[in-house]
Amino acid sequence: MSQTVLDDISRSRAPVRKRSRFGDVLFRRSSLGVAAGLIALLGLMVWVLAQNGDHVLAHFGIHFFTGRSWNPVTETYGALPFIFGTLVTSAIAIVLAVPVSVALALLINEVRLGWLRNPLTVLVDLLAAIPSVVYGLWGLFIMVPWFDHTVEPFLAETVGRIPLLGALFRGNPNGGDLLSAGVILAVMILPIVTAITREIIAIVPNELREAALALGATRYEMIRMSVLPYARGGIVGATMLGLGRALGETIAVAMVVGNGLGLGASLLRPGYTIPAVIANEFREASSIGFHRSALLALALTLMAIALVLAAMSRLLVGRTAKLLAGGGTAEGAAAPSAPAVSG
Amino acid sequence: MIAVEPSLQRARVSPVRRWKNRAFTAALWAAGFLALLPLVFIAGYVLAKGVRALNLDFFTKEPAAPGQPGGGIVQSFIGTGIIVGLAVLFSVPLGIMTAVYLSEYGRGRVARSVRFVAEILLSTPSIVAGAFIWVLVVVTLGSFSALAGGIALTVLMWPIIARAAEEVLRLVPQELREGALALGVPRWRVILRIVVPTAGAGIFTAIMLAVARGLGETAPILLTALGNDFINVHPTQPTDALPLRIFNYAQSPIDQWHTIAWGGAVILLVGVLLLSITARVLSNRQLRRTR
Amino acid sequence: MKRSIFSGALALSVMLLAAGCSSNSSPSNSTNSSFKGTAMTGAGATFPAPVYTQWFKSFLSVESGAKINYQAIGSGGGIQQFTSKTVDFGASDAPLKDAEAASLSRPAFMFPTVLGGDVVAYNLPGVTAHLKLDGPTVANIFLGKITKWNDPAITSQNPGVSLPATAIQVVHRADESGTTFVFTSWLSQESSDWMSKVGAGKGVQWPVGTGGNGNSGVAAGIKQTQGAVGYVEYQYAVSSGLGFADIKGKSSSDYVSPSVDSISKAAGSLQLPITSSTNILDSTAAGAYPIASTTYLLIYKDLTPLGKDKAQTIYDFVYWALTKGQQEVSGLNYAPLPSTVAQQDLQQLTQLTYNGQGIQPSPSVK
Repeated sequence: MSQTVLDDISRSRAPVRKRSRFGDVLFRRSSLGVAAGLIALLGLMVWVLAQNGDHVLAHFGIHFFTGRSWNPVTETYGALPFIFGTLVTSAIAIVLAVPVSVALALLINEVRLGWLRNPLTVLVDLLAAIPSVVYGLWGLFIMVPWFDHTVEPFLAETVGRIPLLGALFRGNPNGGDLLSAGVILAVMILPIVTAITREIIAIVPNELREAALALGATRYEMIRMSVLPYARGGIVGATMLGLGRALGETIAVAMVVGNGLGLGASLLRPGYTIPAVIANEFREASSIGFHRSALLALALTLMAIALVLAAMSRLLVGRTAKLLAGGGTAEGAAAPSAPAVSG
Repeated sequence: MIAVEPSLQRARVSPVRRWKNRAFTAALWAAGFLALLPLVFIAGYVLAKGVRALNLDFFTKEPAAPGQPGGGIVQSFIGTGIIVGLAVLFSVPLGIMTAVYLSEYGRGRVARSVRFVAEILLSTPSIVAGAFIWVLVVVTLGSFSALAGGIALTVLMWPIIARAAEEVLRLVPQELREGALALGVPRWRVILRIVVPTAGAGIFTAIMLAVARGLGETAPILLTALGNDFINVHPTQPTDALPLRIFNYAQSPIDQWHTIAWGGAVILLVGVLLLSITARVLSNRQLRRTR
Repeated sequence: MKRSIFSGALALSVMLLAAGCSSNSSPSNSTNSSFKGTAMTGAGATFPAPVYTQWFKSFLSVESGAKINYQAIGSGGGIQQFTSKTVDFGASDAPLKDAEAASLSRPAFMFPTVLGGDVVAYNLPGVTAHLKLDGPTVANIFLGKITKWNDPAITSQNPGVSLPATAIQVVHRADESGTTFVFTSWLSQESSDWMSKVGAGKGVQWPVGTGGNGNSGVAAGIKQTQGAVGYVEYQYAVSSGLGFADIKGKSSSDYVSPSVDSISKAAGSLQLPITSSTNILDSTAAGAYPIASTTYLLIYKDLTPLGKDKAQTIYDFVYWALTKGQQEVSGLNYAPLPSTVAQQDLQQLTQLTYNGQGIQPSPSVK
């Protein structure tokens, strides 16, 4: 309503000096120009990456993504080890972070915390602010040695003995590896998955909760019946956003992943991810031959995946929010008044 | 939101159900504890190991030869200041103008596209921004530079300021705009002199969030600024930066450099956390004021 | 308030950009006092980084304005940035390949500066003496064929040393490296297995192991993990407190311990001009360390695009490094160039030109 009113007012023939109408038009066009500049920036970025990445893709075709061998000196570029490492570390991050994030979101929103609620929320958000290089520094000197001496031998001894699953945990645990990188990523994506899950859970209408409680449900049952089913889509969306962040994380991963090019089942081996190889090799990538083109093609791939995840996440979260908000209003009108509960 | 303790004493709840509920609640608390552990450990270790490095030399001298005692990383602090300063110089006007367009003029396809593009850029890995700017600026200029670093950070900070500032501008009451327009103030003046200043604290918060992000970024700087062992104030020359120096020193075998890396991490962490907390406090105050 | 902030910021940015643009053109010395040098940037090999860092510091007392910023990003990085002309000079211990030399926009020289050696360094707390390893054994370790320290192949060469059953954790380079080039070239000469499976190059497909960035990263990686082994330049092993092996190459009569002396002995065959196949590996001289290597500064023949001050500075620096600077290297566990090589190097230096004319060393470095 109000935007059109404002437009009408400003365009009306009220006694406004001609110069300021020119100022209005100029200002409006400038701000449009700048905002459109953001679109141009993205377009330019995609164009530059595509233009430079094109050479290697034209030459290697699909083998660029399926080849297992990456050797700039012999001009062989198969990116499978990096794709594999990126997927594995992100998968570990999701598996570890999402349950904790959802539980944390439920803790903050559904359990009576009193004075604890605000500090807890702030502290979890602060995890998001810690710079990647600080995570990497801590990971390199504190977490990886601890993993090497304690956690990984333990895993190799216990889970490593189970027939199929154990293949994940065999091998020499020393040095950086995929598991360490996955764990650090889990900590790094925790805040964002928690934040979005919290927002989704908050939108679930209270009437649904009240209805469950009125039927005599315990908190656990109430959450299981009235909250989680409706929040599911949003949680998946939050997971996707977390996944996007995990895929693109460079510095912390480069410091703890081990920079090894092999492909294998074990998580205790050194691995490599797409952002890490771009960071390590970019300054030495020559433009004669395909090396620089290969790295820029990888950068473009990364962008494409991040783009798809962001779009899907937005869709899912948005759709869930609309569903919950719309459904709630209708039911709220019909629900009988329940005893007031404090929020 | 409900934070209610269902009264289980009077209800006829079977022991199994009660037990399940308790276990679930315990799991929730465990998650909270688990989530906070890393924060405590990281902050704790960084402080404990880093405080040792903080002396006057650390902040005022350039590095000594490897193995020699003394020296510091003054050029990293100055370099970070210049690079982030340039990024702020570029991204603040761009971000605010974008936010102004989105909140004051934006309807329809262009505005929707701009918002979508902003979200894509927000989730773009910073290494990709670094690679892009290397091709665009470093090769063109013929040198690694603080300017290239600043532009790379701008790519990351512009969408942050645009989105956060848009939210704040939307909160400015419509009555303010209508009143001013009714008095005959031109639209552009209404926006620049009334709407934006009213949202001032919130916009400042948006800038702080963007700066907190820019301060901690290593990957784009790695590809655009190269690093420098000497103080450099020329924006077109290679410049050092704090996260970059931490990254390099951490991966060296020299213990003294490890200590300096921890020291740098303390400064970086404290700076970023202070900015984030201040931004949060300010935005809460702003929200309360406009309610 | 907003307007004044904007105008202030605008003024500041104009000043900064103006300062940046003018820095390259203003001379940093006056006409009648001695040349003070100017700031420059170089990038490349980590192999000589300790001695270069020392040299740049010492050179500041010769020319106080010569703030030479050297970033050790690896030989591959040095060659690439030198080719892109984003740095003023490069550094590499791998000589330019023919294709790399052909892709330069104008002719350049490789100046050998100092001698060093690649050592096989390890982290075995209980082992105090130098382990004795021959070429094929080293190759098999890095091929992943020998997986434990108490493997017979190692214990048979080291009677009397009690080796633990610890797993061997290989550490290699993640970046393109001249040190890798030298080491893998040597392994290719020592083991046909290595030659066929991996080969030689600045970067190779390592069968096993984790990757570190730079000699620093590898040394750090070895230092952090018990049972780790890797290849680093001699000085890095010493300053990191790592154990390192005595090596028996195919031309060695006995195991040779890396030292300034044994590295110097290997330099006999080195001569200019440097070609893509220059190396001093497996020297036949008695007592020579088998994995010795020199390292090069990459400098364009025509220095006109750098500007007068930078051209003079780099000329003076190389002159100083090849003369007075050589006296500082053995303290850092590098070996100085043989005098014949240094002479040839100085001769090559006279071929650098500025504006079509030769350059003279400043009085301060003569």
